Amino acid sequence: MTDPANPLVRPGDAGRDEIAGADEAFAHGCLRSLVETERDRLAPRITRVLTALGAARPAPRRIVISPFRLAAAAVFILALTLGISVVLSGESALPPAMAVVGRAVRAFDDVDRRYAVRFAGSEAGSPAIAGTLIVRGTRFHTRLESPLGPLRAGFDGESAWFEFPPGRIHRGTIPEAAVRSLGLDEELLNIRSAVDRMTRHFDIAALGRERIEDGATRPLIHLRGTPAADRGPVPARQVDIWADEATGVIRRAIIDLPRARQIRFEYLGVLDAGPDAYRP
Amino acid sequence: MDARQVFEILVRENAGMLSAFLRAVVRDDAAADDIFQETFLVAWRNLDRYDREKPFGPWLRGIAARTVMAWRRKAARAAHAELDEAALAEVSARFDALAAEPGDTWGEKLDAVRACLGNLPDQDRSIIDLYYREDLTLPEIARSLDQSVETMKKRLQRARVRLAACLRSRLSTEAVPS
Repeated sequence: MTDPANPLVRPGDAGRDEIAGADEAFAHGCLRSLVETERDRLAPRITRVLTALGAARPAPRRIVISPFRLAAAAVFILALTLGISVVLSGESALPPAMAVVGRAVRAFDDVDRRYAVRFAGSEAGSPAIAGTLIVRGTRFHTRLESPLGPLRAGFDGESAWFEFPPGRIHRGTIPEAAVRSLGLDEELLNIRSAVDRMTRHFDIAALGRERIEDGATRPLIHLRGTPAADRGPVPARQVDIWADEATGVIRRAIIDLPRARQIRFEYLGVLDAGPDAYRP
Repeated sequence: MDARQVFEILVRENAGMLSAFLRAVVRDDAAADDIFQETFLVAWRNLDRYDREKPFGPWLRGIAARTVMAWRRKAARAAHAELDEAALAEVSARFDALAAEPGDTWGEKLDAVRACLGNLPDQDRSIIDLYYREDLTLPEIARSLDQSVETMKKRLQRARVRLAACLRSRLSTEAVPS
């Protein structure tokens, strides 16, 4: 792959300062390295080097190395051996479920993400409420078309708000009436809050790697959360999420509610929303 | 324990740093991977020239820099005017500064980068996340955000300049020329 955005210094380029170019190239290398390190992409390249060393001429003299470094080497080699064992045994081991959830929550921090949202009864014929959600950090804005007319809800970074019927905006919290009649609360309207709640009130298990038909090119980690007996009441009976292992981005989430109702989130992509998009 | 086993330690300790250096100075990922391997093989063959009183990392980067220049000449890449030797030395000096950061592993030394990333404005972090962590291309990002590719390229460049400025202020000023 050629990297078209590599900020390589181009001597002689008008307006390009060599020091600034070196700074930027350094930043680029560090950013690439950060991702490689987090995703452990170096291991196969190290193995390739070590394999090639076997065919190369040995170094002509021994070098001295401290006992500390020898111990570090033993740990490295043990880790490599374990890694190879996992690869040879088939599919690589699933990551810890809580680590995936933590990464999923963090994936909302720096980018505006958009989801399709659908509230439905599990029984045939139940009226559906559908719309879209944008979310970034703790801010969110949900727009839904319900059988009773459009409704919107959000959190703009300072306070929650709710609009229903159109033009009547409640500030501070989502009104109790809406919560009771529609069975909605802030944590269910916002996928990030729902997932964050999983970390506090649910037992979470990684069920496996699965592909879903949403355009994702990689298998996703399927996680299932069920309410923990000792961590207080929760509005959901079960939460399933499918998250990209590398980026943490949740591509699909299904929240099963009491009385056979369900909320479904499907990832639509990123957008450049700006802070105003989260205000009523 | 023979020399190869000892050298293996050096490979593992320096692989992250070397990879970062090559990503910084070589545009073609496949070529960077080849140079990564070639650098270690050259180091292995010339281990008798390594001054054990000095750190291994800068010596390895010196081999890498020469290998990059040789690759450019061999592949007739000079026309692309990527990095010249002076610029390679500039980039290498920044890696010296990062190597002086606290931490036993390359991953720990990258904490300085993580800290600077955390201080960037939202818009800068967004574009860096999309490009580096989510592996989106500039045209893909441009489509997602309904912007031109050129706008996205400039935004990414601006984010990297801000990150680099933060890194300069964090890292040892002795090692980084101003």
